[in-house]
Amino acid sequence: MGDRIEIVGIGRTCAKERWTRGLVDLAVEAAGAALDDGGSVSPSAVIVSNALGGALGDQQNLGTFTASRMGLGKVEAHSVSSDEASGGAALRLASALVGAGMHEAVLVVGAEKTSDALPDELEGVRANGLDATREAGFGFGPAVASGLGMQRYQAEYGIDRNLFYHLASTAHLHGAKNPFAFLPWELSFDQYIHSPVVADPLTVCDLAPNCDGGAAVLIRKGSGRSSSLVNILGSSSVSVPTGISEPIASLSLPAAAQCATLALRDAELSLGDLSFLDLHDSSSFIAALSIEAVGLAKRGEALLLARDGHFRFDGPAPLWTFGGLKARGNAPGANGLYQVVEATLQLRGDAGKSQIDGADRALVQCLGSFGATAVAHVLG
Amino acid sequence: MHFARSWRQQAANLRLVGSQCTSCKKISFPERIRCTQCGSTELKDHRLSGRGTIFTVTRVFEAPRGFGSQVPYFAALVELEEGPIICAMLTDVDQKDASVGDKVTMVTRRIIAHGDDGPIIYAYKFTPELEG
Amino acid sequence: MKPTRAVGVIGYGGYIPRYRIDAAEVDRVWRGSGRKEGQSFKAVPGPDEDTTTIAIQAARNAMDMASIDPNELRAVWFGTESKPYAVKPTSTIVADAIGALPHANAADWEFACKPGTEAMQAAIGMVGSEMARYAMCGGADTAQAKPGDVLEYTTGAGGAAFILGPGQESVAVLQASTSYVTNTTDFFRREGQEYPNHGQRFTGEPAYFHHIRSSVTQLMEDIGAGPGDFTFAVFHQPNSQFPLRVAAELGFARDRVEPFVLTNMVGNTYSGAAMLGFAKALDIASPGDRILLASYGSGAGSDAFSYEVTDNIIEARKRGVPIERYLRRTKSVDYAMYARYRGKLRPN
Repeated sequence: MGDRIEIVGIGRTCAKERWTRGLVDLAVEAAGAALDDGGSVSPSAVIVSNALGGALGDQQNLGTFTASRMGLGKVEAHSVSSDEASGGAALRLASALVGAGMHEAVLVVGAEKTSDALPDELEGVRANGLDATREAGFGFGPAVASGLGMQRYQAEYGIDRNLFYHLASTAHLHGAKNPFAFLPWELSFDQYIHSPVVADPLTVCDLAPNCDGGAAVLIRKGSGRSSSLVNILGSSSVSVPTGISEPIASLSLPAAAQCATLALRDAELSLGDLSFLDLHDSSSFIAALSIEAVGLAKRGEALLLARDGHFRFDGPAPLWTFGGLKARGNAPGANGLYQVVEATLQLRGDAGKSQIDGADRALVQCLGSFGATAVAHVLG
Repeated sequence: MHFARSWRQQAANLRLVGSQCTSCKKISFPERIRCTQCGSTELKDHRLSGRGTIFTVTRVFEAPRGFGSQVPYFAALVELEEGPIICAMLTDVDQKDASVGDKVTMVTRRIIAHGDDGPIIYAYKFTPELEG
Repeated sequence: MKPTRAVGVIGYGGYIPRYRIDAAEVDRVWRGSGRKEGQSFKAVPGPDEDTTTIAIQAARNAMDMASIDPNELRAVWFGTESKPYAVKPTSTIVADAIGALPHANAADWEFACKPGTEAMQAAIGMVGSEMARYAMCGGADTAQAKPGDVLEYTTGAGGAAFILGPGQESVAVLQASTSYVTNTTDFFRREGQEYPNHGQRFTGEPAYFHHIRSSVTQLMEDIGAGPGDFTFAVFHQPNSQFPLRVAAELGFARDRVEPFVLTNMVGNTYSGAAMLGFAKALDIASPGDRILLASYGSGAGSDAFSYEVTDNIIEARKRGVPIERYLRRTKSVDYAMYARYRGKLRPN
């Protein structure tokens, strides 16, 4: 990429069911924290990412409403919606505004309010992130798609279904140390295998829990000098033809693979240079394919590496250091920004109990529409 | 209530009408107005046979809104004879008869009814071939 | 009544849902006895089935047998008393599903259990007058009954479709048809009501028996035939006793009638009942056989038909789906699942 972008402020809300907070409140809470963290830097633009709000009957044009409720006065403000890749997309577009010299500093906010909807309603609205007519319209939602995928992953690789436990347990092991996580506890094998089936063989424990959340990042054009601030070293976004049959048939996520490759190339780094990663884990199936897509595991081997502790905080490729979607919680439109906030905490050395020693380079990637949209950022 | 939305989907829903590009011959389901392979806008209706095989299948116990009354249902990817893989429920089928590779044919069923006073959407599901 | 040019059935098909409930199970729930008077099952539509889907499958099976271009159909007419839409034709959905639109007449017919045979008479008239080369008619129902009512022991689901066309293309050519109709309120359902009411024993002698006897007697007189001239006879079948009794009264031998009384296997399929029986008769008939079809609809009336089977039936049947396959395809459900599938449990 051209000039580097600095992350001068970060903020996040607790990723729980925030019964007393509405969608705009969550955005405001996270944005306020990021502004406080950013000191004297004041943004002239606000980009807010959100995936489901309008469809759930909540506030639309969230950019302008968030800016208004922040008391930011006259600013440029927009909303970005790219399913569960919205957060990453918003950061990338905000970076473009900065990079193009249109704004000095931009506030990027992600927010999602899922707990106002009943579970089946929420799944129905999330399903419209797939093909609304030919998939959602026929009773297929994200959980059904992942169930089909797991079925095939298992059959194709001749893998024991219970090996998927190790992905969820890795996320929970890390999430247990994150006070902002929705499910901050370790997941036992016993809990996992007794979890209710959602779409055979996929169970509740194979799905990231939906939660409320807000996460925000204040960015500005990098000074070029080495500073203590975390920088966006590279980024990329790739969309490929939609359709849940593609990832299921090929057992791969071509958008995620290419996106990660391009982001690393942009940063002039390779996978081995990274101290940790955060990848999209909305379900065990998507988590496994994400790991394989970026090259952390060969095809069909993600679960085996997870079982061997490869992705734990003390392993060679730490993943989901704050719990990932599985333990921290899935706030669809905010996910991509939670990843950036959490990675920034790691890179600053402010991750507390979650700190990875000597963390200096990270790749975060979020996905939308069952892997058809991918956005990745390399931070350091 | 979505009057026009379901109306314009009827040919696909009831008769599996997709499209075929007149220049590169690519068959698409559902119908496309611009060929995704060659960009041509000269496409004609192409009715698919409705015969296919189960590519993969899952049994759904927690459904998106509107589908709860059919739980538990089989959701499958069905590979049609002509090539496209489509998402469809299986119906009139037991677990033992819903395996990958099994032959299935299209039938028309109620997919979803929008409340007690909304439109009923009739569309394709797939079922094992009737035993002779 | 007969048309000026020869008309007949050129293709037919039926459909019966796979689920079955035992009448003894209905009895167990409502009377606690679990009585068993011979085997008696009724077909139960699945949670995604209704009259429209039943009619569509029957129509597709008929089209496969007829092997004609759907655009040559000038009418698609279905009769039912369980319309999924009170206003909006079922027939347009069926016609669309088989590709017969837009140059076809499509309408729903209603006359309790006999609208399908009324549509058949109309189709005969349309083809016979050369207004149309082909016309489709049919009857289908997901029969309704008040929970616990005696009707609930028998109300089934199913339907059949027939394509009428020129005599020379037919698998069975019509000799004649009659109708006998009076203003007799023996069974009805008021607008907006979920379940019908019936007059118990009044539905018998003055209703079912009188009307069928009258239409069939008239038909036989019109064509100068007697019961012995028919290889098979098919009657409307609200239960398994009525058709056998009316057959006996009219002088038809029991073995000419009984194979087409499907009530013990699928229940009373209302508008589908006589038509499914007729389809079953065509499934096993030989060229030259004469078949009597007599429907009954409360309110009240009976349509009677005499058909003669042609050589075409041998080849045509190879393209069709025998009713027997649907009779054999069964899956038992208990009263709880039946209640769920029939929408009698309303969670919302």
